[in-house]
Amino acid sequence: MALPTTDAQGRVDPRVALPRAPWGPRILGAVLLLVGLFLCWTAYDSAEGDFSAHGPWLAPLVVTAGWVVLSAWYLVSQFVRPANPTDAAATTVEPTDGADPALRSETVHEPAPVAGTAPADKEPGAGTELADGTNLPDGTELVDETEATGPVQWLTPALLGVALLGYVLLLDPVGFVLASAVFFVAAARILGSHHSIRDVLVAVPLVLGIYLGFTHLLEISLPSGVLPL
Amino acid sequence: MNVFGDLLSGFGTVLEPQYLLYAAIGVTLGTFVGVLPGIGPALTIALLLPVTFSLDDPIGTFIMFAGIYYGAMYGGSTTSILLNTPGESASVATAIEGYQMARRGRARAALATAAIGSFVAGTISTLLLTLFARPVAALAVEFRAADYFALALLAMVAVTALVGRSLVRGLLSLSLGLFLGLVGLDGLTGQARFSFGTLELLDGIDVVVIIVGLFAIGETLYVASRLRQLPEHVTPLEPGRGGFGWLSRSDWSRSWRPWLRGTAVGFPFGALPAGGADIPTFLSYTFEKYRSKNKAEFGKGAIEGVAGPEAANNAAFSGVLVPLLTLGIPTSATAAVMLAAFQIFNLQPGPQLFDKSPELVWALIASLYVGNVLLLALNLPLIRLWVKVLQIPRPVLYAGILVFATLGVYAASNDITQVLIAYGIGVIGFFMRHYDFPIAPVILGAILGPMMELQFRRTLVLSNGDLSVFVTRPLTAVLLSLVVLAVVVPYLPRIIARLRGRSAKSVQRLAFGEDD
Repeated sequence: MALPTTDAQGRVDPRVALPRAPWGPRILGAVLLLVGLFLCWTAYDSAEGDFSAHGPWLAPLVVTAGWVVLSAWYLVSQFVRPANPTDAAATTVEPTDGADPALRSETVHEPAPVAGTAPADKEPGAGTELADGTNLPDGTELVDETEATGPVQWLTPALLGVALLGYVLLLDPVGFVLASAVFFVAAARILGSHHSIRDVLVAVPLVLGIYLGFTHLLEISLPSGVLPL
Repeated sequence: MNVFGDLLSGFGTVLEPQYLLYAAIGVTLGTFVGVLPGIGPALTIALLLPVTFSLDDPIGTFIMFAGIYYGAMYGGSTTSILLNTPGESASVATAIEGYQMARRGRARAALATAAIGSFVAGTISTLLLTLFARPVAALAVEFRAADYFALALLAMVAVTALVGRSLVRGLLSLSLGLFLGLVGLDGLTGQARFSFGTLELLDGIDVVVIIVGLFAIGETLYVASRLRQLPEHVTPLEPGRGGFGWLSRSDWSRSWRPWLRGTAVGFPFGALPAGGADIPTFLSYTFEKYRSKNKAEFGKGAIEGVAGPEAANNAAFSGVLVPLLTLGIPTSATAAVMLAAFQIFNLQPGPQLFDKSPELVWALIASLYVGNVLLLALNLPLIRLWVKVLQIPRPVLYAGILVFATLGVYAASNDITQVLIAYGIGVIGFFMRHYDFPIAPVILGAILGPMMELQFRRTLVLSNGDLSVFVTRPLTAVLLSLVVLAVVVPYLPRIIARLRGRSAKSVQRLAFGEDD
């Protein structure tokens, strides 16, 4: 169980440690628990009484039962200690001197293109330089720390999901080249691009290159669709 | 010593022009994809897997993979230094000092010490791999099913417990991975498990689908949810001095010891089932900080803090190859992708691999040396090109990643359903990222779970259902007690603090950067 990594030493910008609406993790825990119960029941039902250790149903039962126990634990912990700032996202823990704490500095938990919370970033002046051109809500904070404070945009990933769904469903009937080019431009738009012409100029050669490379050089067939390629 | 004979024949293969070309393509592709922010080596290899489907030449493919891996790692360090966005947790330590160096106009020195350190560490650790591979493989022949079970369990639990901040969340991720690994036909009895009556799920869920879903789709959705908060600013390279002017004399003298120490930490930790490069890079960073005469410089761009972790990162990869090649046990997400690649060619890594396809193994090992040299020769002079790649606008970049991810899954399966499964896993991945669940345990669970179950049941068949075999066989018992230890160790600081009567609150659980 993670302790609140930030507030113990009070080293962190208080805004980061603000309790966020605790309902997200609770709902997640409940969903996990329900899914776990369903899967566990599925395994129990399919096993039809065959619980032998070398049979095919021991592993599913163990895994799903473990899932149920863990999700219950997670759910309960969200109610017992709801405002866990580490749940929010990257919290900035400054590595202290000495061995162990620095190992944990851990900063970026995050393969993401979100700036690492490197300790030295906290240095004055780094923020504005980093935030370069990004219109942060409060305009002042370091880029990496806003991850916890900035609003999460739910609309963008949702739109992107819809676009992906449309893309894959159009792939066969319309063909790889057309579907991909349209999707590329749409996805770039959803992700905040304002240069549609540039996106088209990137998309068309890229997609054509992939198509010709795959079908001719690598001899992997892709749906050709409506275009006479 | 016939090791060197084998290695020489490996070099004989690799230095054929066609394979040299594969290596060069691999290094270039790997660097190109690795430089893209947010893409680590595991996803790079997963995305590039379909490119290799049509090559019916496993040797060429693996030579290319070695190049891709090294390239991706090098590209990742470039991104960490210039943009402060490590593509995987193993380069987090590099980003700490590297980015500070870049901001102070020492980007070239940081990039050079990373590249040369990677080269030094890669070469030394490959040498160690060359020397250790066969003895370990010979030892591995003694391993029985029960030991494999215990070892797979250890690799899984160690990564989950030591990497990441919350044990519950880590274990939940692991359960998800184990569950995904269970879907499909049971290998021993042919019974369908969790297929819910659909034909598509009978074949199981491919690891590539899981990786692309979690890393590419899930990551992009996650980025989309916090688009406004991304850094776009690439630290410019200071004007070049050309030639060997990248590192000054004092840079060299401050770098070479960290390179060697990083290697010494990286290789053994990589070889242990403890999650690959995360732990050694942080250990190296801490050690350099502790040892350094320029302690005050740490946090403001100390070159030691780049040299050590980068060397450890690279050395750990050769270390990870030891259990992967000799035992068939992947201990990091990247190794799991490599294993998936082996399986595409119907090759099962393990002790037999050295007898069955020695030319492949030795060509792969020789290609690690060659890849290292190529990387140094190609990439340092081309740095300006890679900086250009860094400047690709985010919307275009992520739209491209989505197209490539879809393409990768579709080309691998020719099946829309698989793409939809990848998307579904991507949505799960998005919520995992949002609620701070680690990703690596999912992949290790999915790939090690089936292996573990098979060995468990095999053991029981051999012992006529007697479970005590897991305790009475010494090696198995030792490995299983290490599993318990791996769960307890992260809590040691807290336990000790409590024993000493201090408040446990101020002492956190020991954890390391999360793998991606």
